[in-house]
Amino acid sequence: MHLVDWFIVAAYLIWVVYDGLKRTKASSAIEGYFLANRSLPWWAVGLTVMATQMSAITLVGTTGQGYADGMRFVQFYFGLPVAMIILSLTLVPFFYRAKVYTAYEYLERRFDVRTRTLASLLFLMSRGLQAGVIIAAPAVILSIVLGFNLTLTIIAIGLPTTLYTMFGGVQAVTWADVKQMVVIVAGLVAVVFALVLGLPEDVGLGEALHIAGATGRLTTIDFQFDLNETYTFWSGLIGGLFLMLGYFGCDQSQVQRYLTAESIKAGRRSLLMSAFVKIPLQALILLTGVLVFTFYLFQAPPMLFNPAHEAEVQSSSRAAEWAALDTEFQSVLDVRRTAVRDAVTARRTGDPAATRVAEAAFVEHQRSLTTIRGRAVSLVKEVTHDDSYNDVNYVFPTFVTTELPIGLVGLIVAAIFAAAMSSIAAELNSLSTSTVIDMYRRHIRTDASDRHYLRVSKIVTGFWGLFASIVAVYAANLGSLIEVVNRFGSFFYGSLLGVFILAVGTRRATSPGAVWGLAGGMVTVTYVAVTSSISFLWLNVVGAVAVFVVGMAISTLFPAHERTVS
Amino acid sequence: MSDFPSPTHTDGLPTAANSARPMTRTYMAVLVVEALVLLALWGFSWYFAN
Repeated sequence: MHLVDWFIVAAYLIWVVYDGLKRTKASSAIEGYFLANRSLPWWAVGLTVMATQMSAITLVGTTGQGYADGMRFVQFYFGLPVAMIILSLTLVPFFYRAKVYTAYEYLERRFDVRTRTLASLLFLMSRGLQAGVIIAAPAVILSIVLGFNLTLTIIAIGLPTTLYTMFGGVQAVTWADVKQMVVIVAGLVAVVFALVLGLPEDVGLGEALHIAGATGRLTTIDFQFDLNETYTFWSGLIGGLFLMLGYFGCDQSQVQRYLTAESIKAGRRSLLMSAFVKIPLQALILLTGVLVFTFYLFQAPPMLFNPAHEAEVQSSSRAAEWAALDTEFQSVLDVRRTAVRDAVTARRTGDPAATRVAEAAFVEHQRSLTTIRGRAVSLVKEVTHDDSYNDVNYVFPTFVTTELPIGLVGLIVAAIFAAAMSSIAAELNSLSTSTVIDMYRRHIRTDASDRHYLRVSKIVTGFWGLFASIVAVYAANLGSLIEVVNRFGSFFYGSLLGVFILAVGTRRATSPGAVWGLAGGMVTVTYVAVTSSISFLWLNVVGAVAVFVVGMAISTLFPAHERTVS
Repeated sequence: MSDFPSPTHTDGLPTAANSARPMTRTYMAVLVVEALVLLALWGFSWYFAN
């Protein structure tokens, strides 16, 4: 990276930390520290909701997915707008009227302390580990692509985030998120412009997109109903709906965002902002990946995008095999380039038959390239013994650092940092809230002063920041662990959603019904996940339905005497 | 499970006194915009795949 780019990244980090620390005074009481005194405008809350959801892996991985697989991943978000409407009608007013700090606090009011503590523990276990993974994943990629030291990269992401979250509380998190969303969107738009300008002068954007379309990369909607397929219209609409209901309705890292809104209406508006913007934004990110693919139709891409693994193979006993593959890759690349030109020329003639023939020839060469890449991946896996190896997440950072002009590289690296920090800050903030409100204030010190709780909250935030950074150092070396932790989220969201459906959906549900329903849901999801190949999106549906059925059965078998109706 | 049956608490459940008016028009707008976005995505992929 050029010195100017380093300066931009450093300026961004200093700016975010300085601005966050400035907000320490605004967080002088526990309600200010955790909920900004429920005073924030809807648009700021809406941006922080979006920034929390968009981690660095969303930014880097989604563009990589656009490059390798196309835009069908956008279907994952089809259930989000409907989920936001349901939450606006149900949980947002419930939480707001109940004046809770955490979603799980509400479960005690509705059921009992056991349900609250169990739900909170599930959240702390899952999110505590995930916070480490959210730091580790972009740190590994940035350290390899930019040649940084891995531990220093983890510190560069984890330390500033912990500092401003610890001292500035939710105010710092929110206003940092607002700026970070601006940096991320500005960076994306700049990359799209650079990619369009990077096409050869005699090739139009429409022509390049037609070439990408011929490979199926612009297919956005697949109506087949297949429970084993993750990215279809139905899995996105139904499975995605349950996932988003669980994530935005029961995950404290999101619930806490809209609890800071100045009114119920502002809380609702903040969620509906995502409902309007999320699908187009994800489509833009995926399209960026597709445009990187079109860019590399005319420029030579590397065979694989992870330079560290490539170097390892080249220094191994199978270096000759790698060199042979690379030679084959380069020759097919030349043929493919000619095929691309032929396809563009054929389309210009306006002859559909000639266009079809030329595009079919291009697709054939593209398939050959994909096969060679597949063989290269297998070779890397055999040499490095890393079975989870996948270079998709390296496509976008490699493109940015090798092809973009000075200045823009710094902006995009800052945007990747911003995406990582915005998610981590919300995680630390919510982990601290749940630890202090659901555990410490509820079970350990029930009658301390506000000042005491504030001091403890800052210490706990610092602890979670340190814990996440330590987990990140270990997780960075265990690729499969990252998958396990991410999968654990699918086990957790559906089941927790089921408990909240019991809480707000029916007056007949009892606290034993909620506790045993939650346990039953977790067991059912684990069983289905282990014994079938069902897509993880559907696990959220399974979990929610299982909790509801078990919970209602227990509640019906052992009915409660209604005690408080006011 | 010795504490069966347990009391049911209903704090926060909606009543006439605490109901918040939903934003029906905005919800309808969300659904209409989503339908239009999906239609645009489908049209986009159809156009460039042909």
